[in-house]
Amino acid sequence: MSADPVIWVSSILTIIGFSYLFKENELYRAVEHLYVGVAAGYTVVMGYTNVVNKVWGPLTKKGQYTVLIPAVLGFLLFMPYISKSLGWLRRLPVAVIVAIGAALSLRTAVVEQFIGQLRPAIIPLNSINNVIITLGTAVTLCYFIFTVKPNPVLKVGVEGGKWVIMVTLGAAFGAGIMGRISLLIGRLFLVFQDWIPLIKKV
Amino acid sequence: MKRILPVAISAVVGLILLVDYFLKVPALKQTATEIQDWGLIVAAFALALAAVNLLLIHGKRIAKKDRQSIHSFILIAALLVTTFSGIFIGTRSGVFDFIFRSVFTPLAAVFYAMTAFHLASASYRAFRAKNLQAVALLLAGVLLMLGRAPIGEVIWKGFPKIADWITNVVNLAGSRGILISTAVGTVGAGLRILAGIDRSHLGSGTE
Amino acid sequence: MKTLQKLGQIDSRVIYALLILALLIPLMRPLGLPISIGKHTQRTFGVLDTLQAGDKVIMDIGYSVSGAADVQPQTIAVLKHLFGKGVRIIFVGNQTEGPMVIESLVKPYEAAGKKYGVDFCNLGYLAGGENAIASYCRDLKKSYPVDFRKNQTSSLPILDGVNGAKDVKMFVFFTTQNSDMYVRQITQYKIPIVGGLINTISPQAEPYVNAGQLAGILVGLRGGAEYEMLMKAPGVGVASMDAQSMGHLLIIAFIIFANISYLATRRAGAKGDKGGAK
Repeated sequence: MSADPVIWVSSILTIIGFSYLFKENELYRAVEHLYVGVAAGYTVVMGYTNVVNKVWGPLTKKGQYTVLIPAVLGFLLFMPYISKSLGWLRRLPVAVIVAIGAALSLRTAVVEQFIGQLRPAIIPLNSINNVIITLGTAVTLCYFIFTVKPNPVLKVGVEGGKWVIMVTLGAAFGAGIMGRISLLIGRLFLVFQDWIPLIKKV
Repeated sequence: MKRILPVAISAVVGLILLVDYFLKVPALKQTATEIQDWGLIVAAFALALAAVNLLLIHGKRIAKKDRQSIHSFILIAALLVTTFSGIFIGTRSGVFDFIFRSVFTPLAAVFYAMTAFHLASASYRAFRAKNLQAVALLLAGVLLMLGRAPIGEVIWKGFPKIADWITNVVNLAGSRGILISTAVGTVGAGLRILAGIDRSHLGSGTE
Repeated sequence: MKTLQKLGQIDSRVIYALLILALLIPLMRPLGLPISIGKHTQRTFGVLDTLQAGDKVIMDIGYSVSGAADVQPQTIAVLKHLFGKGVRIIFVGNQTEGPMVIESLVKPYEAAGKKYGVDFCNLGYLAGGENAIASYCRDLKKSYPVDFRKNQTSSLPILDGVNGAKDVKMFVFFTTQNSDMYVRQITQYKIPIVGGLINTISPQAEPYVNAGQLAGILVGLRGGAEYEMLMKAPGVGVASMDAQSMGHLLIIAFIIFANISYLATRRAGAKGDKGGAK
């Protein structure tokens, strides 16, 4: 058996975590709360590091007073906890973050996702696969047209789109199962290779 | 004021970033860059919101001394120990590294890996082919799983080829259509947010 | 028929136990199933192999530790490839766990002689998601004035002449989120983008690979296993494939049994109705 305390602690916590599958118990709830506490604390540490590097450092070492503006905005996020009457001030930094996110994705979505995907969708129809890809893309787009009353042609497109989307979702479903199985294999390696050496190392 | 100011800020910020990108106005480039950098700083502050919320909720539970207060105590203790070790001892210290490797990493992995069991249970109970389209979905998933696992190729050499065809032809068509539709939706949603039509992110207005 | 109907009501714990056994037994007693190399992995290996000693790449470790089992084998194999070629890697983290994961990944290479600040550096986590990617691709040193080890980034030799994404040879990312934000923010810099993806999000990346916006992708644990085979360095990925195969077969068996039981129940219900109608 391993002598590494990290392996011991992580394996025992893993087994307690999985014990939920057989019956919910107090130990599991304790471990669940432990994880939430550690995760929240870890996130605070990363946030603190970012604030020190991007606010305190430039402010004290380079005299960049403009960083005080986003620092104040960041502080305003906590206003609802400080004062009920001034709690609405939280909307200001939220408005800034959401606007930046919306603008960034909007401006690049047009070029990279819309035009960037329309161009390769126009391919020569010189093979069955190319025909399926082109038609499949077209009928999938038909499925998402909700602003026009469906005429007979659009109705055919919508029905075709349903089939293509079903296969696409099936592929995502299969990929999802594969991903989940991989995660479970990872936990088995921890417990049965690193901790109790039942699995030989490669 | 409480409603108009945030909407106005959204509109101005969005307009500056969009004009900078599409019209390449040199005078705006510095401002656009500065605004993006401010966004990074505000996002850093936002990381502490969850912790503050947890402290308040679980602090109240401990004060009430109810049945669950022991778990709340564990949560707050874990939060404070992790925070103090990371900030005052350092992120490269033995303590913080131990907490990350022996508590955070395995438990994060466990809670995500549990979905494998739920998926297995759902495969047995819920994945019923009730109509032809459900059959298509299940069949695509099953063929992909057979094609991607080494055993599939051992059973029949055609399974990987079928899986490749599903992924590179039909899935490509469907995903591309979804991607283009999503892009149109992103543009629409973004414009609604920047124009102040969609204000759901600004709260209910009861504060 | 009643047996088939009963099969549909089996206790979940039996299902869980069967799944654990289906995965554990092949891990303990490997079957040695052959692993062929898929075209995605072949292509990605080819793209990364074009890098030369001294070339600089930005590598974003953007996966959370919860999904590490699916993505980390690929990451380890790619790092072996790139460090083996003498490529210099500028690590960034798009997830909070990124910097700590990076430190654990580079430990063996640092012990073997790779120099921090020259051969690689860990710039740490930058809050902001897609905005963070846009910012550090535009101006790396302004976005990261200090690295994870508290060095001024302006003092790191590896960052000499690197102001942003346009000054590196390639961008490599590993993610459990989505590839959209990387494509949106990095394509404009006209450098090859290579992605290591968790299985769940890989089908959505196909259009980007087909359009050439992603130069290559690695897909989940299988992608990691294939890359290990190409590197002739089998590791966790290869060791997991037999278990993955058995897991898949079990899930497929569950789906088939469930549908047989469902049909049996439906037929029994239909027969019961006919009997009642009489």
